[in-house]
Amino acid sequence: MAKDPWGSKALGQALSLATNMAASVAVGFFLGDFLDKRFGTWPWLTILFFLLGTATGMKMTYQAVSGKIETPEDVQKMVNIKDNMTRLKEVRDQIKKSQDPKDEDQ
Amino acid sequence: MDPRIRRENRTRQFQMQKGGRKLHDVLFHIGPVPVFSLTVTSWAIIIILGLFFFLGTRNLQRVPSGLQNVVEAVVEGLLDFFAGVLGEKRARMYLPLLGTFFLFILLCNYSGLIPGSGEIDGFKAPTSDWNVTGALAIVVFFATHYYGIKAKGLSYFKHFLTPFAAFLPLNLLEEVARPLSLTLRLFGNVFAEETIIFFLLSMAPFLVPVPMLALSLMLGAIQALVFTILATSYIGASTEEHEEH
Repeated sequence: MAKDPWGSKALGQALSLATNMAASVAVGFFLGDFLDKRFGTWPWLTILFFLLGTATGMKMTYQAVSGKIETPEDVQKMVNIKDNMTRLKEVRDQIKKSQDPKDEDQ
Repeated sequence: MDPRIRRENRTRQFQMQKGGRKLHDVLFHIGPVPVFSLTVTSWAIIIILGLFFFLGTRNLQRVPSGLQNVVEAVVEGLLDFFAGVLGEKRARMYLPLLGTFFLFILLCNYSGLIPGSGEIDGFKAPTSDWNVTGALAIVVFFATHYYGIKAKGLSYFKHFLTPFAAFLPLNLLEEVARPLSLTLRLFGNVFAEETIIFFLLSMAPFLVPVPMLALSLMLGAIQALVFTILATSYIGASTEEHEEH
């Protein structure tokens, strides 16, 4: 497998990032607007669906970057930026530690 | 009202959109249905593609020659390309739909490069109108769910609840946003490209638009490729077995 000489899957995802974001926000907004006109509840559903659309856009962007969100742990990963940052720092410290002794030897 | 006047009014209405430059130029009517320039172009493309493949496969030989060579190269190239994303088995299953998408969109994009297209009646890149790209995206939308249900049965609907039930509205909105995104990307790119070429031509018709024409050769292929690869990955995601990855 892995015959993808043009890197076309990555190309497709890269070019779809912008329109995906715009399309999901637009879908949310217009769906909310439509439902509001239907039920006469302006502006609540518009606001709700606009926010949902924005969230969808973020989800699609995250999926394009980090792969599909399938388990609750994936959501944890997505939401816990703080955890990720501390983990990043730990790794950086470890790398520093592993490099330091060599420096001392020299 | 006299039907002829009504028809003329409707024609004028279509032509009024996009001030001055005729976007929807009605060529003729079949009964009450107006036939647009881009419809004629896409029919021509369908006939060209159909004839090409009919003539290429009419008299199949074990050792190919002439047109059969070309057809085989095209089909095998596409099959290889889809197999890279879907795997050999599924690529063979979905090749007819996806391959047709690629070839049709490619020819549609390139039909905008024919000299005078957009100005002469009956020549117009169909993909520079979002009715056409919208229709293509709707086909992708239904194909994705149809193949998903066909491959997985009712358990297909489980993926709307991943990672948990609260994501249902997001997943549903995503399904609607995808075809809109496909529509807008293809339409936007081709329409922008056509408009730029049109303005360059009207400003300096000699040699100046040539770099843009060269660029649009590449862009046309890339947009066809991107639409197809996204359709492929949507269908791939909806039909993939969970053990596979």
